[in-house]
Amino acid sequence: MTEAVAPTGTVETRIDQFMNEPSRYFGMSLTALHSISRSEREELEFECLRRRFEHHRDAVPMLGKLATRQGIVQLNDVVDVVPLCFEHTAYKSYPSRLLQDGRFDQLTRWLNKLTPHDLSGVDATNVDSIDGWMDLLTEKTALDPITSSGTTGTMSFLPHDSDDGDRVARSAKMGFLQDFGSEPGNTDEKVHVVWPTYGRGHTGMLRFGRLIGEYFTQGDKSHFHPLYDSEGSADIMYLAAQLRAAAARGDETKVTVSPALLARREEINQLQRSMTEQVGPFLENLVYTLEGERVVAVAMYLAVYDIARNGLEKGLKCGWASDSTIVLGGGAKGLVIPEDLEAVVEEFFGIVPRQSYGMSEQTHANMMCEHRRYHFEPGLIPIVLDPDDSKPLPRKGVQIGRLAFFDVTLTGTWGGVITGDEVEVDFEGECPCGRTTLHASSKIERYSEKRGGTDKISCAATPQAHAEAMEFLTSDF
Amino acid sequence: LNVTCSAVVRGQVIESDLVEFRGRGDDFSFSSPDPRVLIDRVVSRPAQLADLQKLSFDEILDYLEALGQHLDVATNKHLQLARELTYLAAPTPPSIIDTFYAQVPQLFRRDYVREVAEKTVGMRYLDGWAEEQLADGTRFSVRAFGSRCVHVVAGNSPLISAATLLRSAITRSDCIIKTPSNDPFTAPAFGKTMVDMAPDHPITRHFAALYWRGGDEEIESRLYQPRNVEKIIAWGGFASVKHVTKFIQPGLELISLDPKSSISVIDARAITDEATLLSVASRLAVDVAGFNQIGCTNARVVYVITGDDNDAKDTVDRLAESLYRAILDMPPWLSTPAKAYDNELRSHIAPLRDDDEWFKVIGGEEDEGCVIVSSESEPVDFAALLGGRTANLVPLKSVDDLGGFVDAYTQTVGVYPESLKRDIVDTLPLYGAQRFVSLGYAIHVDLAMPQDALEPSRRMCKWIVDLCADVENRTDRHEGGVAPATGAQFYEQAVFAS
Repeated sequence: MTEAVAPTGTVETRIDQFMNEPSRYFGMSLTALHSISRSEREELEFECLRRRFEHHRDAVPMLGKLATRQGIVQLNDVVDVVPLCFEHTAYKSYPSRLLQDGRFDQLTRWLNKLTPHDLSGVDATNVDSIDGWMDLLTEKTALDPITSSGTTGTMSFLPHDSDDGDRVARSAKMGFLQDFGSEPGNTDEKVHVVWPTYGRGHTGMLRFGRLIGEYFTQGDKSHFHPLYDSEGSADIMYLAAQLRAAAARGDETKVTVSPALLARREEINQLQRSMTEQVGPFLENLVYTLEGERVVAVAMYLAVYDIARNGLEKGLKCGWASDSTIVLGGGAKGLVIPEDLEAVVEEFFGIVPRQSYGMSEQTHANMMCEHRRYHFEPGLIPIVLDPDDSKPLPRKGVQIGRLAFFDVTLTGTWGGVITGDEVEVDFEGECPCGRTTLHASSKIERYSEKRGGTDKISCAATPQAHAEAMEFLTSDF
Repeated sequence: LNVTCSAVVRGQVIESDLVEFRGRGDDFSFSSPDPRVLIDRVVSRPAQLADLQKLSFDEILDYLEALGQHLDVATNKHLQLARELTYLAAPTPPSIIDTFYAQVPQLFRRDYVREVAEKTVGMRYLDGWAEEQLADGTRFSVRAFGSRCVHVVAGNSPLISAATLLRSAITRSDCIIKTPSNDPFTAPAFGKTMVDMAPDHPITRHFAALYWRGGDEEIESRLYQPRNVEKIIAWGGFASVKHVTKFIQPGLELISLDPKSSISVIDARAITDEATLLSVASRLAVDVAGFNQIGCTNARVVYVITGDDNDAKDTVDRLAESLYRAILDMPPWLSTPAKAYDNELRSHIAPLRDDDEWFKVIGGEEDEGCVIVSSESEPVDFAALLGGRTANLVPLKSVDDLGGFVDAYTQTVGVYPESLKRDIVDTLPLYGAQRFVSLGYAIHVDLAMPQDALEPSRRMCKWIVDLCADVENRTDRHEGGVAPATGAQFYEQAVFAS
């Protein structure tokens, strides 16, 4: 094991780095990041939390109101932030009619309450699509906003900014390319990125693909290999999600399609046809073109599995360099993962897949270690809540409950979120892998699914949702 | 905590071969007789219904009247025990369970049972063959026979089991109640009372109440066969109704009392003074929060018609405040804070509190009940989760806009003022609405009326026809040379004349 890089400079510099450029704080070393002492981490995390609250309280209107209502003026302990954490539903708390009617000027006003950045100068009156709105916000403001995939027929909008995106990419770079216990190596190495879905888009997943496509390849477009060299449209996903929700209610007649989307019908249809043609070349590219190259492939569980199985059926194997990486993450929730997934993936790619517990609402990769524990990166403070009354459980021993967290690094929005996930976090025991950071069980469930599934419409297979929406759009109605 | 739950099968109380089941909410479990052992004994053969069909209606009334007297929880040990255990299992608190149990004997009053039979089936079809005659003179008789039914009942009120028992008896049907895990005790307690009172009576012999896990493939594929069962009456739960549909085939009919929710419609312009406001608010509170908003009849979304009137828009806010206060003022026998407020609902409401532009949220911070006022003419997108005394007030310009918010899931529409009904009773049923009530009467469910746009008791019957040609006595013999185009004479000429 190497020595962790000791951060230098004044206390102020260290705090500033920890909350704004954590990768720099740790010298871009995964080993250093997961070797931080408990006292150092806790001290820094609390100080950063305190500072974020002081700033965001005045700058994020929704937080300001919440704090006033709760009568909280200062934080004396980490758990004091719990009443101030946003429910994960906050990011879809606009009246759904605004989105259905495409009233993006009003949606901008709504989003402005969730971010410290000033959106008042954005004129969205002429925007006629979600994609257009996202593009406008990206162009005119510091935001690099994220949409959800719209699981239940509604769509969340997270006002993250481009600095948040930068942190996401750097954290992933450490987590995906480095091994704990080793030197970081050349962190500017140009690596191929294989991305078996749309190459661009505004969902958390697609934005992530775009980011690593830039950061891992050192900006060399020839090293970024998306399955679909096109944008996964938020409008199409929203339509697909609405259709699924409507079908679950047994009534599809109430789904309205905006004229903007209707006008794009033929274009989208064309795109859909060409996508099918891209799957074959994409696989060949994987196996032959990148022979011997260092590759990072990041994808949803089932997408990787399908590609690996198709390859094996054809008698193919992938011959990438042995320090390549496959990362499985996102999209496992609500799906049945085949038992032989890891074996099939390993056989085809010749690499042990890595897994991470990433969520759009924060910036950290939180990789799983060889003992199948997810490790929370410093700066992401997990808090486990009693699922019944949402009160924080003691921050000691092993606790099971609803996960809330505070991400001290977020600058685009408030970092406190209550998730819908049930987790088991070990606040005291050291993981046998040697990492000093807090760790959680790999078994993570959604309360909404545990409860008996009012919410069983799964969105994870984005291309499939796309196909369903296409079918609807191109049919006569 | 584990408690024992008996099964009752055709005059026998069974408490052996116990297996453990975990109830909804996970905090208690109960043990009841293994349904795999019982299931074959539960089934009745067609000819075995003869004893039931032989009962005169007066004998049925005698039985139910006596049973009603035995079902007094003040004296009935079985009911007392069941009530205690239901406190644990039910979604409502003891004060409301007590209300439900206290109502049970009322259902079996002789005059009421007769009224239910008359209004929902017709005495003349129940008490023998009802004779009819067509214009062409054809005579026929109709009799409503009982059938062999399985009732997959809902657990939100013990009265559902009582209603099922009542309907089965008046239609002379064989009754198998599949109890729900949130109310596994009530129906067997009725059964035990019947066994104590009249163990060999045909009604007792044609009653079974037992628990199995809904969706248990082995049990259900054995039971749900046309040779065993003729009708399945499924209450509530989208999943449970959907699940049953796969067993439906010729000879096995589904009577589906689908999961529903209800709305209110109030014309704000009719609220002209403070007294009216308070009266409307307290009536609305009963529709929203009566019996804790666990039933399909409870209002969840309240549409308030405002027109372009600014005062009326103001009225929406004042109504919301008054509604909230009226909910809190309700007596515990009628409504209490939720036994367990839905976490998911709570997390949807939380962010709306800090938004003063689109929503106004009144109360709810202690899970005591909550009113959400929308500014847009659209319910919150989590409207399907509304419960635990939570209402969403939605302003609408015109009553004509209502159609877009009504569908086949809309059961009851509570209306104020009464005159507003004129504008909707003939149109909203086209969209799916099934029941209109004066505001404040949503939870007043009377068994003497149709339910969910259908007539369960009539559907439980088998409607048997005896056609009698009776040529000699026919009075309308066709005179003259032109052959009639329809009817018995046409038939006779075509078939018998050659």
